Amino acid sequence: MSDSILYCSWLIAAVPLISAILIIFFFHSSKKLSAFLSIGSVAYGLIHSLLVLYFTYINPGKTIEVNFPWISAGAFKLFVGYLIDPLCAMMLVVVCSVSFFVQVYTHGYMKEDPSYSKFYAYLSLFTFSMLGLVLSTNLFQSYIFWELVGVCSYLLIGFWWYKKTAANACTKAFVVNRIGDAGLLIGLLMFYFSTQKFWSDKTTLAFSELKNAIDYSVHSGILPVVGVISITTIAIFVLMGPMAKSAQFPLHIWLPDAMEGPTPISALIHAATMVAAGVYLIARTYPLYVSSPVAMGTVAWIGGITALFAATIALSQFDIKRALAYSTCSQLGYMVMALGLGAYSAGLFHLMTHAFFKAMLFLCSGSVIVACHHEQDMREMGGLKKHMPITSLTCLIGVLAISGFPLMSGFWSKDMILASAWEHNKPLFILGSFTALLTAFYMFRLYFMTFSGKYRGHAHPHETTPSITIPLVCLAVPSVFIGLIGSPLIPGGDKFSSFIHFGETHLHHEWGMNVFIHELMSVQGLVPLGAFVIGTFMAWLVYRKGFALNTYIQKNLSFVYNLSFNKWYIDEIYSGILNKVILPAYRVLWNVIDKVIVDGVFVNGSARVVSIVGGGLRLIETGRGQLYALVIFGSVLFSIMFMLTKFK
Amino acid sequence: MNWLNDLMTVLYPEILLLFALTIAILLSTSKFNNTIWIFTTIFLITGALHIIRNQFSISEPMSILGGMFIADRLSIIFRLITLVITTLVLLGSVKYLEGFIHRSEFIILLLTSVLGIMFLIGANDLVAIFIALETLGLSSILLVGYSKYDTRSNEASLKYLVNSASASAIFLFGLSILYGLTGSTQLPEIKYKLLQLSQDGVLSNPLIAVILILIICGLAFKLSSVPMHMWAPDVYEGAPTPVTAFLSVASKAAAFALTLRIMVSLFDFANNIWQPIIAVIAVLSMVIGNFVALGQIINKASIKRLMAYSSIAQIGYILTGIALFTNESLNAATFYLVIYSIMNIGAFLGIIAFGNETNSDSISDYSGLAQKKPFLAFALAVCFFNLAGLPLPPAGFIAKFILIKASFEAGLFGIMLGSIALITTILSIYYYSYIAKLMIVDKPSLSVQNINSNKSALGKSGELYAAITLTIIGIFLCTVFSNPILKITNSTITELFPGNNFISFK
Repeated sequence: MSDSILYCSWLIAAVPLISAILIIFFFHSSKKLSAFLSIGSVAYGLIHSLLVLYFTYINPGKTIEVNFPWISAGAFKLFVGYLIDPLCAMMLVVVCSVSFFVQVYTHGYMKEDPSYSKFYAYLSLFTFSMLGLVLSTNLFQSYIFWELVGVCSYLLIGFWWYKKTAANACTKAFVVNRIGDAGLLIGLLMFYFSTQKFWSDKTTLAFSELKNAIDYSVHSGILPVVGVISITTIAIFVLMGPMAKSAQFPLHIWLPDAMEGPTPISALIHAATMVAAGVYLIARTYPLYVSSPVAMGTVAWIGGITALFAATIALSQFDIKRALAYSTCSQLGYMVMALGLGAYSAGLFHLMTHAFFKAMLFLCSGSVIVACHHEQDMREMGGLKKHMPITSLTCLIGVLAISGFPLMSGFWSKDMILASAWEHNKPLFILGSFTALLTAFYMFRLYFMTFSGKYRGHAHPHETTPSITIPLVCLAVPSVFIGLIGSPLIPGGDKFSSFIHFGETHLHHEWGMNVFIHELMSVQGLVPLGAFVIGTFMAWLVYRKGFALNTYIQKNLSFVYNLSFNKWYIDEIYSGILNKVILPAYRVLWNVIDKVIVDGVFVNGSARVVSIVGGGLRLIETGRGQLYALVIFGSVLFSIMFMLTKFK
Repeated sequence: MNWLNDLMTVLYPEILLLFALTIAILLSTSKFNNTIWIFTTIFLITGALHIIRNQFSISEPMSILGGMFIADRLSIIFRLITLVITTLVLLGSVKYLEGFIHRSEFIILLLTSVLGIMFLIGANDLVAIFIALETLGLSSILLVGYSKYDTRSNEASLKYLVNSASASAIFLFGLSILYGLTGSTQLPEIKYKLLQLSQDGVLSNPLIAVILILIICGLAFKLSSVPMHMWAPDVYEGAPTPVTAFLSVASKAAAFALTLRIMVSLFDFANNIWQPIIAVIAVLSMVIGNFVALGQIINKASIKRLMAYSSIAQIGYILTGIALFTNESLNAATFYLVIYSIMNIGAFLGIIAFGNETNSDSISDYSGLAQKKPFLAFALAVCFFNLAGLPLPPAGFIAKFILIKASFEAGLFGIMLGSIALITTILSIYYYSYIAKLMIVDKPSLSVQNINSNKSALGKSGELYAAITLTIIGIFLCTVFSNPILKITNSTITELFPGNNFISFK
């Protein structure tokens, strides 16, 4: 029973694909049927993946890997297949559950939209691609699905393509991701070609063999750890993919703009699943990083810098979705930092908890936006608590969870990360704790500006329909409680780390109230708690009590304020570089190399040659049957004569 | 009665075809002649299923009819391909034939030529080969001239007759020398005698070269490769479009199988003589085919003419694989042929559909097709992109990739041939994607505008669109299941040519 369920897990990904195809080709005219198909397929996926998680949990040593050869040309082989291990099982549940609730929510959010069915088709397609990425057994297969999720993200950001901002945003996302993916592809090919011999009788670039491949190549001297072509450079090239996809500094610029897409997309793709795919890929290729300290350090610092950097921007944003987007960026920074610090379980634990509460926060923002008649500016909100009790309550839960209120899910995962930072890298601990303070501040700022005080807008806000509020309530439950599985409060201690870990780990943790209090009373426990308290208190002072810290900074420290408000001018710097350096250089090169040499000589020249030759050869074709027969006899005669002279 | 059992197992599809032929002849004058295509299709599909069900499990080559006919992997797979292609051609021709008075004759002639192909693929004897070849040739000539009130069709038929007769005469001359040398008509015996003769020192290289040139001439004619290609554009343009599809795919597949049987299986000891000949033919086909195809685009000629040159070029790629004569390259060539059959038949079915709608086959009339017939334009674009080797979806790309990879691994000679294949592929991308661009991007032409948009796409020519859909699905399936297909072709090649031969070109 359990075996057949595990071996059928490819169905989890296949069923959404079938539903996408059915909707696109057959049922695009029926709104009800397309919603039913799409939600039904992911509901099936959720049930199946919960079963997979259960069976993997009771027997964690058992991993299932099935590979089918896809293309084989001599020694070069490509495989597709599916791999079921604890990490995959966890991701399956996260993707399916978030996708399920978002799709239910979509019914309420998009019901007026003329392209309702198309939206569901894209959602199904995205779910398929994301699940395919999670199930992949090897790097090549993940690369295919990696591009597929990218395409879906592009399609969905530009879903309202008639809005110029949306069209620009999806192009931006596409271009930035291209940079990262090019790096990923280079790294992947470098790795494959340097270890080609190793893969001759194995699944090409399989995750399960990655460690052996690296050991083999390091021991036999094919790849040094540091050097021009080495494990480190490969790891950093591979890292470029996750950097673009998980919006890490300096490739983070697409994520805030991606909020031009419909809100369910922001929740599903740009908060919970696709942006976490980068973290997932780092976790899958972890052997690469572990064997190179430099690469590990790079990962940790990129994560840490992103966390702080995005948090400072989030402080001053007024668009509710952009503020949340920067907070996503910052939280992804935490996960990457954790992986870079060697805290494999902590990073993935934060991925899981973050997926739930951040998806819920985005859905809350969507609910608010609907209620305020598509107003996204927080200065036009306020006092919505009265009008929207359910949304405000769930939003409060999300805010508490993300800022690390004790016992909520974000508290546990963030603590785990900061504890390992304290252990391995003190500067990153300080950076992370300061980020935690900022997180608490800007999240409560968002909450206070939106829900408390007086309503400042001009619409008539009202609570939204059940199909919007029910997913909010459902997602609030894991946002509160899911963190407990990684806490010392449940029997057996930290279940998450004993389930998902890299390399050796002790399966039994200490547990109990004493352990919890003991951990809380240490430096690494008290500092984040203090950060939370201070951040919340300051937000309360500023935004509830009218303590004019914000206007003071705005007036007297306008430099700092502008830096934050204008996102550190990164977009301006990039467009400056593009306009001042790259485009002029490109124009020069275009005029000289492209127009004269490539176009003039190669393209037009070859085209002219081709047309002359083609036109000339066509003249041989006279249409006379006799000539054809003559050519046949003539060529036979000629070749016989030639051969006879040659063999004489 | 064991031989009868074997006979029934092996020749069951052919017997079904004969049966269908008889019924078709009987019904052709009755009022049921509209239903002939239905049961013919059923018979064809039954034959194909029989091959899949009963013959794929044959492990040892099975020789029947006193060694005249052999059922090895090669003959099983190519007969299956022939049956599938014929089914598609038949489905595609139903609507096309509605304008003709003697509708049933088409199916009768088609069935005769399919019988010719089936026996040609399995023939293991010189007499059988020649008779099957002539059965195919003569009925194809009649098929080409089927549209008898169309002067172009008549002219094409006559040209085909003259050229076919010349090529057959040369081919027969080669076979007769072979018979004179060995005193036998059976291929295994001929090979045994030839090896004996060459050990005795009687067999000289010039003699072998002459035989090979004469035989290759006949094969190259059927493959329509340069320099025996000149009939192809005229015949392809003049013939009714379903016939063109049949000639460019089924007939070529048969000729390819025959080439493998004669060159790889019979003359493998003389490879240093025939390798350069086939290499020259391959290079000429790739270069001339692609260049003149470009010329067709420039002159906005008939798309059928373009397809004639494009198929000449495609045969050039396939012959590259034979010319290199390594296990990998032969495997790649066979795989390429399988994929080529599907892509090309898909393209021709699209051309038939377009011709039905607009009564035109001029390239410029295709412009803007996507606005009126999006599915047709999509299907045509998929086939063209695959023929060009672009990975959308990657069936054609995989075939080209494997072929070029195999040639790059076959020494300096292979690298040269592979580079020519690559360069000419770049040329071909231009004209294939030009048509795709014309259909999708440009403004509708007059004939496209005149397509009656009220007529539903699946209305009267449901069979044709079903066939197009099947080919598109087939292309997608070939992409996904490229590895099983490669395994099958690989087993074919290893059976035919057991030695892992890496003899380089001398």
